[in-house]
Amino acid sequence: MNPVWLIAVPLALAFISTFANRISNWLLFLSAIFNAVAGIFLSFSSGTASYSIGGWRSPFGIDLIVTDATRILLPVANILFFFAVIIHLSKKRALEKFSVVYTISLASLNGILLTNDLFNLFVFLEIAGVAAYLLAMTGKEGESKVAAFKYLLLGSVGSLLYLLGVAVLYAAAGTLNISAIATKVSDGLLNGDVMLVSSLLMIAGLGVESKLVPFNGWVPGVFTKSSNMATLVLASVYPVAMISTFSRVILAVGDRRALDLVIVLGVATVLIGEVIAFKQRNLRSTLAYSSIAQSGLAIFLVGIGTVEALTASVMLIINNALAKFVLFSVDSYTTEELGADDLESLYGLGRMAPVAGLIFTVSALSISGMPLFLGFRAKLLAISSSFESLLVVPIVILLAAAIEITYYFRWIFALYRPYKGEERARLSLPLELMAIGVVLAAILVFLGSSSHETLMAFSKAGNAMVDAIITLGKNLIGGV
Amino acid sequence: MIQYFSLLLTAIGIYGLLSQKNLVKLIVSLNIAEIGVNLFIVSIGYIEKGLVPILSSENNSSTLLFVDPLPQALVLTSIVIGVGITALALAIIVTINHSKGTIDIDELIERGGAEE
Repeated sequence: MNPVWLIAVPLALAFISTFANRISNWLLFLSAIFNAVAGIFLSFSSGTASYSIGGWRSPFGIDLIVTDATRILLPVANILFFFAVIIHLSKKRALEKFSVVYTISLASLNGILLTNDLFNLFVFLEIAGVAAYLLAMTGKEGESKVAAFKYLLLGSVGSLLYLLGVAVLYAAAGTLNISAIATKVSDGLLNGDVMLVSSLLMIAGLGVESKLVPFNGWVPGVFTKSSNMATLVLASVYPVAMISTFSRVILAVGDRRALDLVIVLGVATVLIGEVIAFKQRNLRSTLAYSSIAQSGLAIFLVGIGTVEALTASVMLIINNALAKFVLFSVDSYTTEELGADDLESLYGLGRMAPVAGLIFTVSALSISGMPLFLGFRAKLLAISSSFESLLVVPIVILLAAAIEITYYFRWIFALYRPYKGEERARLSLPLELMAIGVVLAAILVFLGSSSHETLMAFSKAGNAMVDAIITLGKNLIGGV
Repeated sequence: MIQYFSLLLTAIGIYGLLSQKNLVKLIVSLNIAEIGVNLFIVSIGYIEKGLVPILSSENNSSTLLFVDPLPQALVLTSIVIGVGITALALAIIVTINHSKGTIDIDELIERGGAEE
């Protein structure tokens, strides 16, 4: 199947739903279910495939690329989006008039994951950005508008810098195709200093959406102030596309020297994110800062650049997406039912709603990397592969894990602590949230405890992160 | 030469983004920076004494020295995107003004609108 349908169908349905406001929720549902099914369908086959768009052969026209990494990340992103739609579709006024925006964000995220063209990537980043600014505005209070404006400014400056980087690289390489540029880079045909300039600009540009440290001032405001569904999509689906694209672009067309900067920024992001998350007093801002730390961890491993580190990075991206989905939906649910999500008001939640407590605990443990869960496998792989060569990896990961475990256990203990105030009735979790939460938690446990063979898909993805793109480029140039 | 000027324009825009307090002025600064980047991209395609990249009865060989048309296509796209972002930003500013009654960053911080 040609993956262009994953972009075209949501875009077409979004176009229709601007005219048909009454059925726009159902069109969103339709596009989400189509993309989820198509994403699963793509993951059945393996290997690298390139699809040229519009009849222009690949280095001259735009092409879409499906690698082993895309074959994991694409279904995860689309299925999580589908789950987010299911949870919120039945609620009145959860989507309000924003279903068109959600549909467009789905199309652009698929485009970001699939495209093999630097300028095309810029266009999709801008579309995803505009959708994200609108989603950030969906909060009830005026603060969400201010947060959205902050996000818009940072995001636009970031994409401006990215565009400048693309222009510099185009002037040097004469093409915008990532595979073709990657081949020229690996053959040493490009001037290293020009590449360094363009990679620095691209790191700054893509760093805004990937939540790297000096560029992530928008995250806490947007994640704490916007509506529940917007936060769910921005915190679990967006990072899958953004972080994996960051690593794909920087690894394929970036300068080796720029990777040192990626390591430094990644470490700073992890440590600052974890420390600030540690001192937060309510659950949602803890999760927001924890998201910053998790993306820092994934990007820091990209900077290391070995196959094991990249595999661990893919695993961390997926672990973060699945677990944050559950954590943010439990948080939204408690905020709706209890009216607050600070430490004291969560006391006893684990007894009032046992399933919510269980899935929250599993996800929190997986994020902090406890054994039995996916997060542990990812961190273990990164540490064991680099213990002898690069001591910075185990130090950073273990330090981050120590802080993470401390603050996540504080929340888990709060869930099971007796509530002192007046008696509260048992809460019944909505059926769809319960089912989805249990499924995601089960996946985290399954991937964390299964044999090595099941994890082969991840190491194939780690391999494909760079190699597939360069090999494809070699074939292209040979074929022209 | 024009490349230096376009980068200078970008730098002026970024200075404006760092120094201005009014939200509308921030958007104006963003636009200035955008224009600088767009000019830079156009200048990449320019070739001294290059021809218009159209095959005609006079210029009928593809081996002639044409200017690169691709950067112009890119700039066209990025101008359109810039217009869209500007419109969205102004709309957000209007809603901020409705709910907060001000579009000055200092006053927004005073009223607890934007932490940090």
